[in-house]
Amino acid sequence: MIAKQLAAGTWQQGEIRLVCTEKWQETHDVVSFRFEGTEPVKFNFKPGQFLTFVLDIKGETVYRSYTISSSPSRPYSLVVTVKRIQDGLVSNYLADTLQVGHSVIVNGPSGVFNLVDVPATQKYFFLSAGCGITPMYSMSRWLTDTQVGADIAFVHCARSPEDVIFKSSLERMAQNNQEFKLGYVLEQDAERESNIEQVASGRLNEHTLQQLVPDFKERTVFVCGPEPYMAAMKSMLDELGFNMDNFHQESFGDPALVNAKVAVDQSDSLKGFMMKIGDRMRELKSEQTILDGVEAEGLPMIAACRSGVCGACKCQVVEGEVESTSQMALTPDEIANGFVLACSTKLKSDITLKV
Amino acid sequence: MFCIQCEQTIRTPAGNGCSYTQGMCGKLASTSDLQDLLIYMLQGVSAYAVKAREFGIIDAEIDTFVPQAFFSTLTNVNFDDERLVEYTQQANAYRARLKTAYEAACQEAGQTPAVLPETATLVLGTSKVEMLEQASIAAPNRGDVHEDILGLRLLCLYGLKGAAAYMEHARVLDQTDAEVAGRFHEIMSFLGEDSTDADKLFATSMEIGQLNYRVMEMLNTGETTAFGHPEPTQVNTKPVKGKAILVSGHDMVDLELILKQTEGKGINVYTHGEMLPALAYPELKKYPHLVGNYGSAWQNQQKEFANFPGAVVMTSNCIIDPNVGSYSDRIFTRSIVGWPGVTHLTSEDFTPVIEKALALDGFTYDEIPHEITIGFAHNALMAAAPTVVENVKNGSIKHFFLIGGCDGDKNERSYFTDLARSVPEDTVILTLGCGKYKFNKLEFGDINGIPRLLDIGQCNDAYSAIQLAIALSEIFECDINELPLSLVLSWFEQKAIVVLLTLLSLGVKNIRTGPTPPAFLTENLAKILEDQFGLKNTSTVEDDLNAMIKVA
Repeated sequence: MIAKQLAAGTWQQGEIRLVCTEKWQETHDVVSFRFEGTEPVKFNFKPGQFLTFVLDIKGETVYRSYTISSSPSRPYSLVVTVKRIQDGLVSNYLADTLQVGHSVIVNGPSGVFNLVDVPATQKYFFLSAGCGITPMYSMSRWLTDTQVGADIAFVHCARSPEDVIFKSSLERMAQNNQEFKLGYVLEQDAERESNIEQVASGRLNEHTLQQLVPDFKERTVFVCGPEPYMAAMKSMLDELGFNMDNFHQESFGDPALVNAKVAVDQSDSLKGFMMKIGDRMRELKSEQTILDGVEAEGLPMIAACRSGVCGACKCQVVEGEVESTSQMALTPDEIANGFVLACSTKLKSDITLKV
Repeated sequence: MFCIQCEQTIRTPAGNGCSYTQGMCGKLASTSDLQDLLIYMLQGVSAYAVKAREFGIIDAEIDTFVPQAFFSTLTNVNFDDERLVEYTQQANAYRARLKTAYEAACQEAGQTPAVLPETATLVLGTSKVEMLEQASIAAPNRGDVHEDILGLRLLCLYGLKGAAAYMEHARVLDQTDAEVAGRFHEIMSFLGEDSTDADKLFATSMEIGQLNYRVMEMLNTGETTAFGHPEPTQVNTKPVKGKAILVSGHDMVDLELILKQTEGKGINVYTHGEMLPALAYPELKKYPHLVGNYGSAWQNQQKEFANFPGAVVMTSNCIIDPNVGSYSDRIFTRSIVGWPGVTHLTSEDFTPVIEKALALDGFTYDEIPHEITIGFAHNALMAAAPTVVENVKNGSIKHFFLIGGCDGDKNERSYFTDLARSVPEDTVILTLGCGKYKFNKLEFGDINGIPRLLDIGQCNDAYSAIQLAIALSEIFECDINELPLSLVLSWFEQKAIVVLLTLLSLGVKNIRTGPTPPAFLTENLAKILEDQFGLKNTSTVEDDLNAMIKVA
């Protein structure tokens, strides 16, 4: 098993099936899941990135992104931490239904809110609220595991001591690392918090900020939490004269990939090829089929099914390259002689066609 | 080739029907022609069976064979020319056997044998090549005939084919009836006579509906006798870890054999498509290694079977090209099903399937379970009837929709999903057939404990739905058509055609069918059906819902 683990291939990008190997309660309404590959695999990602889960809930496919709360410095598993949201479809589904042994399909990793893509000095200020702690935890874990000499101020805002996610791990991290300074801002019961010294009561304001992270202006700040929280932090820091070039916040839901693909397709479609049929010439765009061209020329061609099944629109490519999505109803001889189904064939070069 | 029997057939302004190199189902022209010739020969067999019966000669083997072989020509059943040739040769042999018996009986009685139609006299070619040469005489659109007459003939032919399929399903459960077989032969023989009598053809279509009602009853008896009455059951629709066999089609006898033969072998068995209702039968659900349902309706099989890491058994329709998903080496056909190059199992020994499943990886993981409730067939519905009636009387349930039938891959079929989603909260949806997969994994909740989605079973369990409707009409002392019940049927192939004929023959009115009307129904015929039965095609969800609820 150990040899197999050590020899495991690396997953860096794409769809993967994960199996849940551990599930535990972080707080009363937060659950963490540990995942491994169906075969041993090493997960490579940038600390702070998220995964997109592809789930089938009540008969519908649902996509939801969750930050990886573990660190790639511990690459054999991934941890995802989910906070229950009242009436939240996915968070409650995962918390209630996903058990150890179950598998899920995920895509990723994605996201630019991470240690690699955010330009930063070695001085970090991680500022989070609620479940926004997950990327901060991943990044802190990586920085402390790898001992790259980072100086981290970590301030987390929560309702009460019991609501602090990763509480004991964070406190251990603080104990073991001089350069990791941990502070909590607790709305309730701050006085009950005795594990660490830096505790403020109420909400984070200018005063508590100065108290917890006096040198915050020298740091690169990472903020993650509910949208109103991030907005409040942004305006507070701005008002305090913080250099906003060093301010970075997580922004959820960035379907950049989809748009990128469309862009590529469009640029491709600008290229066209010529189709010659007898004396006729016609230019076809890359998304047009031979059938589109034949019909545009007003030539007789029976196109019955228009989907590559019936064989009615058979024609012969005498010269040039094409790409077909269907060759059904064509014999091997016909295929060898350049016969194609017009409805299912697009040009890859200029061609000469015999109808 | 000329084939127009299913919903996906080619429709062009120039004319409808698949008539080129290959049908939309993937059936080659040669296969289609052989099927035509097979049907023609079977009509000849039936012609002699009718005559022989006049002398009390009943050949049970032939009574079984004719509907069985006819079933092989149903959409997405058999694509294997060699098997079709065998069936045709077998039909030839049986025709000769009946002819001999009939003529001997005539001689003994001092009578001259009757002159029978050409289907009874055709000299069958001795090879596939010869058969293909003579197949044109058997084309379903043969002769110069008015399109309405052709449409009626096809309505009867395809309806009877659906009934033949159900006869075979009943037969494997030991349910046969010489009278039903006799009536079947009469109609089969008549359809070989190329009648141009519109009234007689129309009346025949209703007789086919009536005949099929009896067949569905037999099938219901067979299934419940063998496996008990379905009971409401929660079934998982996601894979679990382990070696796996997937059983598709309609034949629960095969499923039971597989379950028995896989006991203790560490193989999980899953249902697929129309086999889903099997999970609710006591004598099948008792097997712990029958773990759930995998996948959805037939049209998605090329993806689902490709992803299934085990062996697949196709017990009846619908099979489609297994080479597309590269699983032809691990799919097995049974009974009337065939695909060239795919292993066909003729005995009840499923060892090759089991060995294949054991050699494959199986699922290496569990997926998050997703449970749905099924099993609301006849008895379960009757048990719930008093509660249902009470909720109708106190106004909690305002209306019932029966949304079911076949599934298919046309985009317009989202109509059925949208309809199920759009029906008001105080209504109940009954469903059956594989059309249910358009919405059976969605959440519908319940009305005072009565689930809003009641899955009755396979397409033939339309029998249970009819029984419920009859029971409700007795309780409410009204005609079936006065019940707050609307039927919306999705059709794809000939089983759906015969279920529709059954409903019409029972006097059920105002049924909606979709997504498109059968291509063989002419405008005139559609008009007649609308005038007589209020049969309509589906339009938009909004318009249809308004009309259906207003009627109530």
